Amino acid sequence: MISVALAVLKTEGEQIELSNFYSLYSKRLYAIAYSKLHDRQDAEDAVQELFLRLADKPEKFFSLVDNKRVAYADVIIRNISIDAFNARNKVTVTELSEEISADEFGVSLEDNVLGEISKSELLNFIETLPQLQQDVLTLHSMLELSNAEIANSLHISEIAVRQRLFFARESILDYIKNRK
Amino acid sequence: MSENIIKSVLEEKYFKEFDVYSNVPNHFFSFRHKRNMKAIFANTSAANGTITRVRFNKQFVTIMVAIIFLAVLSITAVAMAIAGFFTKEHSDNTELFAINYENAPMEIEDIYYISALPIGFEVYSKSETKISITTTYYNQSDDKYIVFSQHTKESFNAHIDNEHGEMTETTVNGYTGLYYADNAGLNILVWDDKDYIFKLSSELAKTETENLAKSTKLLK
Repeated sequence: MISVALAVLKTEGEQIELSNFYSLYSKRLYAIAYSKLHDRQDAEDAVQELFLRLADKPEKFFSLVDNKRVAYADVIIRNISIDAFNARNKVTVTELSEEISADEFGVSLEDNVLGEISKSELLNFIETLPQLQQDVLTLHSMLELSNAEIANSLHISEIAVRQRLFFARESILDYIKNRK
Repeated sequence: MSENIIKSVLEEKYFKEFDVYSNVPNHFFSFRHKRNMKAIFANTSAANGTITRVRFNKQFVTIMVAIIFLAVLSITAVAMAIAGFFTKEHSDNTELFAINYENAPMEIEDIYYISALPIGFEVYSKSETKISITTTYYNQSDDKYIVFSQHTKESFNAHIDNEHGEMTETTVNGYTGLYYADNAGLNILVWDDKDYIFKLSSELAKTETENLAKSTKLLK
């Protein structure tokens, strides 16, 4: 009875919270989508798609605190908008089919490596990475999502998540080493 | 440590990119979109499986109180009380609970509302359970929202960002409360009138938000 009661409370509470989140941030999210899509209906559809994804798998969203929820939604809707733009313009994003091995995946950005570059320079370089890699890096390192959670949020495979993270980290490492 | 450096850089990058969206032009969503969004929120509760109505009998209430009490006892982080709220500090947020709810209603018996709603605002949506009521008001010409919620003290729980602003103590109609502004530009007030906890989130200025809070009255 307790678990049923908690499930009921959690569900109704989540419904209210999600609805409130929409009320407070829909304008912002629409603006992000519109900045990519430049089409009113497409941008509204992107907002709708975001909340469909949040409602479909709400666990991660509700585990985040308020300001992190905003960041989470911002990144997701940007990705949704990029995907919609690519679909509209028949642009295909090709992910490599081979799996990244566990050894390769562990591209190490140790302190002594990161210590060789200033934060501003690192930031400037990250901004040059492909947007899809930047967003996976943000979800992983800033919002601390697991690969499975990122895959669910962006509607991509876990392999794609690992690849984007791998290439992002490898690019950062190469940039730092080649700066010398 | 290296992950902290990356995290710090990514946070800076995020704010640099998305700060521009803190103040965005007005947009009036189409009727089709609003209809679809209502359907999404209506389906959220249904999509989570069978919902069984729970009777708030004495046994249920006793068990809920015991669960909450045990959860409070298991807290290892520094716990403090501020403005009548019990707080638990996490690394990036402060969790609020109500304290001293022994004599407070277990269900909402008296309903409160904002009596001095600014011109142009109308009720946009309302969600009501036995332990919380949330009303969203919307001004179509300004495209601004006000969200007002009332909670039983036992059920109240909120996470407040403590990284980008501070909570300050305030009073609303003689009752202690908390004020904070979140990083999306919302002014938020939370206060306790000994029976219920109220939360008001608004896109209006701080003074206007405070005046709205002060205008809350019992619905008769």
